[in-house]
Amino acid sequence: MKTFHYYEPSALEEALDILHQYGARAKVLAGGTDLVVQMKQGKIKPEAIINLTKLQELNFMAIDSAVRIGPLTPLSRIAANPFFSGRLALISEAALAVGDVQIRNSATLGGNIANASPSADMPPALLALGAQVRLRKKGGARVVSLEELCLGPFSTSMEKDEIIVEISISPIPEGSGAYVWMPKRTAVDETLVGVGTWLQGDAQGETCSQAVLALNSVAPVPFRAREAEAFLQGKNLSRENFRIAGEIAAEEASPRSRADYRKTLVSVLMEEALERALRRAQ
Amino acid sequence: MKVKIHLQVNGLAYEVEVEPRRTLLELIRDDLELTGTKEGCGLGECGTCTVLLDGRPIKSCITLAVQAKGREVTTIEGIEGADGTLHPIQQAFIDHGAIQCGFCTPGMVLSAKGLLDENPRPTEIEVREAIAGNLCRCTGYQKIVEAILSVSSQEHGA
Repeated sequence: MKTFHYYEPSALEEALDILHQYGARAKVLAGGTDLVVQMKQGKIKPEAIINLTKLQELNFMAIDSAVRIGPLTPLSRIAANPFFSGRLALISEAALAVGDVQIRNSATLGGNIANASPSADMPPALLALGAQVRLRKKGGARVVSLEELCLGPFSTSMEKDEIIVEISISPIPEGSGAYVWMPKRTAVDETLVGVGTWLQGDAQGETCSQAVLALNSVAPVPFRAREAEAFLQGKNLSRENFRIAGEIAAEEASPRSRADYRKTLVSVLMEEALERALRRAQ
Repeated sequence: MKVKIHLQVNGLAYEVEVEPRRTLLELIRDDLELTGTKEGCGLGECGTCTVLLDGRPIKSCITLAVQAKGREVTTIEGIEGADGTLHPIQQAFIDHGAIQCGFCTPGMVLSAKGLLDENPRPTEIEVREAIAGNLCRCTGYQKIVEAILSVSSQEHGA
């Protein structure tokens, strides 16, 4: 691994100052499960590493009518949070889909988003819930939707001196969701296709008033299958309609490799994720 | 440039100077000469470098040594009794024939300890989930699972 300047700021403002000074020549270290691997492989050679570990104010989960999660929160803590069960189980399902026990103990929510792997598991679940990301930089702050943040494979709309300081779902929408995924058969079980669904029914629970359907690994970025969403709106919450929504979503996907298999998986997993979301509403 | 860090390893306090680019695995094996922790793939996939960081399993080959600053590391050398008595998990691995070449064993044992410390009565599925990040190429998973389950049904020491 190439040498680098090492910083361990004790305040956010200090971290922002250092990042502002280095810009793209620095990398921010949270859990390191993606970053350290890329550095060991020589894929990236940052001039400086800014370890955020001392900024424990960025390691939190606050849940009331909204969900707010700090970027340094380990995925294992998210997976174990009893609040992320029942209608909100998609959040823990996505966290559990990442890596293995050891990886989840180190890996953070902020890292899973900022690394911007097309196969990252948290984004589809969070997209389905309309998550917002709060960013800070020296002398500035803004909030963007997660959807706007995801720009391309390993690329986000974050400026080179911005840091994620909060991921929020505010307010938590009515309805229920699920995250269903299928891994590649490799050592690390990287996600081949992942589907996050959020379903809102009418008062009788018979027709769909809104569906949000998000996918990873089948396009350059995690994205919403908007045609499938539009199809479901106003339709009966039936297995047959879920199946058709899955087929529509498969046509919206644009996988690069193993395209036929991945598209088939999109329809199968979408149907399953909608069924599971519906069961959780009852 | 080296950075001075304090950390606990197997209950002992250390003050070491490390280059920030060095991994926790390198610190443990090369500086502290605790060679029970193995290096396999070096990319966080195989799990043989597993150690406990503040009681939780992590992969030391993709963790920088500086990330262990101020924290408590437990390696395979740190779990036996003061008199050299094997930890119940180690003994169970022997009793159940859960060791073949032995290269994955330190990581397997520590992943099992991480699980049992948090969940003393896991189901078989929970055991399999807990060791999903530890690869055994002698195809010995069944006996490993049996060994871990046997400890879970006994009194489990620290």
